[in-house]
Amino acid sequence: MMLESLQSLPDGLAETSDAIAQIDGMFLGGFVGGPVQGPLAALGRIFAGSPLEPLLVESLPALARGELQERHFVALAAARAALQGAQHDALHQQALAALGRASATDEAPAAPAAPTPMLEGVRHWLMELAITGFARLEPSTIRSFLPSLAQLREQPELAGLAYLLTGFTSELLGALPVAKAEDVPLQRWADLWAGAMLRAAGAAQPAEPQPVSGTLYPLGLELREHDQLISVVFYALLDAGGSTSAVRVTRSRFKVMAVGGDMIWLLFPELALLIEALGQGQSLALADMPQLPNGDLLWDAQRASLGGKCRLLDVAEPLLAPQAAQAVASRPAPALERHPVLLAEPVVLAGHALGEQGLALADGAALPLDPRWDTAQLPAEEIGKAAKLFGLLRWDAGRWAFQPLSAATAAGKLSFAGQSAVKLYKKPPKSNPVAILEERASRLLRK
Amino acid sequence: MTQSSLRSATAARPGARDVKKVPFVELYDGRLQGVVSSGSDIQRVYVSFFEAGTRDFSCSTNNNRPCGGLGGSYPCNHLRELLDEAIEQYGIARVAAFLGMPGDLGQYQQLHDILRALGTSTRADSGTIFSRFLGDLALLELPADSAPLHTAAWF
Ligand SMILES: [Zn+2]
Repeated sequence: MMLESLQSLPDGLAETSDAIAQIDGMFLGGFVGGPVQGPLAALGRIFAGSPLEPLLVESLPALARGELQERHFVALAAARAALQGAQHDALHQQALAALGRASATDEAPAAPAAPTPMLEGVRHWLMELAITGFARLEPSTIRSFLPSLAQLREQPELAGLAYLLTGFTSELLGALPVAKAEDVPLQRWADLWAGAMLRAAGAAQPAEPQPVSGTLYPLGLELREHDQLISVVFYALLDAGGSTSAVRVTRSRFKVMAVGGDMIWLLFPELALLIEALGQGQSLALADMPQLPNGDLLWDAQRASLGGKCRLLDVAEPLLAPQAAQAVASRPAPALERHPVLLAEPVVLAGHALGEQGLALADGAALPLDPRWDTAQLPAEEIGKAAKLFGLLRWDAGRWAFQPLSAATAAGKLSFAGQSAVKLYKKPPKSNPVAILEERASRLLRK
Repeated sequence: MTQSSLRSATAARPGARDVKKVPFVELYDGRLQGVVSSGSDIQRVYVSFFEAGTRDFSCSTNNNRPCGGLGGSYPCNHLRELLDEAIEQYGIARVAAFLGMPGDLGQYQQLHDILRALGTSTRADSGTIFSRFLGDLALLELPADSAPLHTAAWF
């Protein structure tokens, strides 16, 4: 079968990774006195003839000469993102071919970003990080940025950047000063730096949602979190207007570190219905739920109600199995989301076995398990004995892997990452840490 | 080619924190610091910290009055509660490493192992710690949102 084809890498992928590693190397020692000329010249040659060429023809030599201006660093971030975007597109095409899926038509390009004065300070601080170099950063450089970051968090339209920077600064404060340069997770920090720099170049206009009605089949969920963030992503199928498509529901909130583990579900009372549907094997009826052009639903619990009982993974298999006859189309990602780590094709697998190397699929192909797999809530035992699995085909560290999100037994009983939420919503703890801290906040912050 | 964009080690999942007793604790700027509720008066809180390296400690009210329970060479109950909850939140290995406990870090298995190897009582302004607490609480006042959040994929 076709999943075997995921073992070989798309043409040019390794060379592109090398070019990205060259850029990242410059961030380790910084742009003052570091050996940056060679890598910058090589980068210029890669972009010859591309739309980025005019920008880079100016910025790369300027950086090499030590002209450390903000716009040159924005250009460098754009070049890095373009390389990862090319990798993303090649890998996405490979995944679609392996799964037998078509790509839906591309969205209209996003409206140009509007300049936002608050972002100047962010770009300036990011430039300071690059000039100093990750291996030489002092905690004081991070701490001095925290007041601006607190202001940034007050701007709803800049939430994506604020969540990113809150996690990045907290990770840096936990790691600095760096004892050995080899300890720096270089690609990761360069990703976070570049992602922040591009989002700080301007705030993109949000797309207009349209109301949608139909039947939603939730299939699994993924938790993403750092000490001050919790973000839940549900993956689902939506049957609306005579066609079925893969959709996501995301809810995100800033949180405090004291609220962790299962208690995070108390931060999202509006998600109880989705959890109940997953826990009991039920669909949801949606009435005029706002939906973005790329398919994402903007969850409003008032517009959803529990529907009929069903075996959720049985419903999904004909659409999400590899090479399925009625395979769903995959939506292309907008520019800022073209990064290999964001690839997440929903897949239903059946007839697998679990071994030391990961999943052995029905046709003999092997697929390792992704480190993002929540082994606490969805243990290997559940994966091994499941008749059907739902999860995401993901890419990181040079290979494809499967991140299981839910597992159904032959009798149809569903286990899923995040399933401790079922109990928590049914019987909230007597001592509710979210309520206690919110009450403290309202007393202390408004007195 | 083998570089990863993901976080390398999965952090220890925080245990069951008692936020009524200790609403705030953090490892920040060379201190294990936080806020401890008064056992008797709901309006009063204590601001306490342990210094990394020296392992000296301090406890005072948020109006900067010294804690009556602090004798000199032994920490008051507020400090013990703070340390206890820090261990719950971060795990004892991270707490012991952050405080710079002497000798092999593996010997610190529970609260008392750390309590036995502390410095002495010290004094410092509690204002910055209290404002860190308020900043922390402000995070819970920010609304949840439904927009897709791709930047969260790195966490
Ligand atoms: Zn005290």
